[in-house]
Amino acid sequence: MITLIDTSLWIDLTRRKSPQSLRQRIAPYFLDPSAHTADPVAFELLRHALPAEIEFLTRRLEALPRLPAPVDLWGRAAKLGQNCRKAGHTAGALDLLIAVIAAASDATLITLDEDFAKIAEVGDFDVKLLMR
Amino acid sequence: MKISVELSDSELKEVCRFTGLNKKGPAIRKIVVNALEIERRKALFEPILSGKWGADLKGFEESRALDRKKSRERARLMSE
Repeated sequence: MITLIDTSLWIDLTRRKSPQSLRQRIAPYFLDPSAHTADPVAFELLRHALPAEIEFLTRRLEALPRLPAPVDLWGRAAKLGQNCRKAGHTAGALDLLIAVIAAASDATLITLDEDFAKIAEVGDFDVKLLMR
Repeated sequence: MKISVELSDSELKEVCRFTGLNKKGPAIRKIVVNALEIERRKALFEPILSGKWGADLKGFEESRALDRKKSRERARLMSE
């Protein structure tokens, strides 16, 4: 099984103020060789990093293989967004891109963000929702 | 490079079971490569897991919330 580690896990793993117990709980998902990352995840993480943090975080991001974006990423994201709206949920643009990349690689999205569980109800991908 | 490794029957059966591979050579290679990758990642993430290194990453939650809020606003405008 391939997994895609959502940005929410990266944030909680690397943020200084995160409880050590939470870090230890989510660490195995990063150590698992089936764990992957994706371009929108790297984008979300690095856009909030301070200049002094970027190199360190980039090396860790590069340690995980990156799932490819499908050639029809934007069209599939639009369709998924439409399906979410039909189901009464308006999803964020980056959330849709992450969801489509997970679906295209048949990866399970590991996240702490419950919005992805709503998207998964109409999307063709599995979510493992962790609790803080 | 080829090397010889001694394993018991029960260990070899476990290697095949855990990797899901029937052929012994590929199964052993897969489990060793996976173990090596886990050790690499442990070493790389050690400064974080030990609490020696941490980032601030301020604004992540606000950015996700803003992205979703803007999406909702655009959806509302489209439906008017």
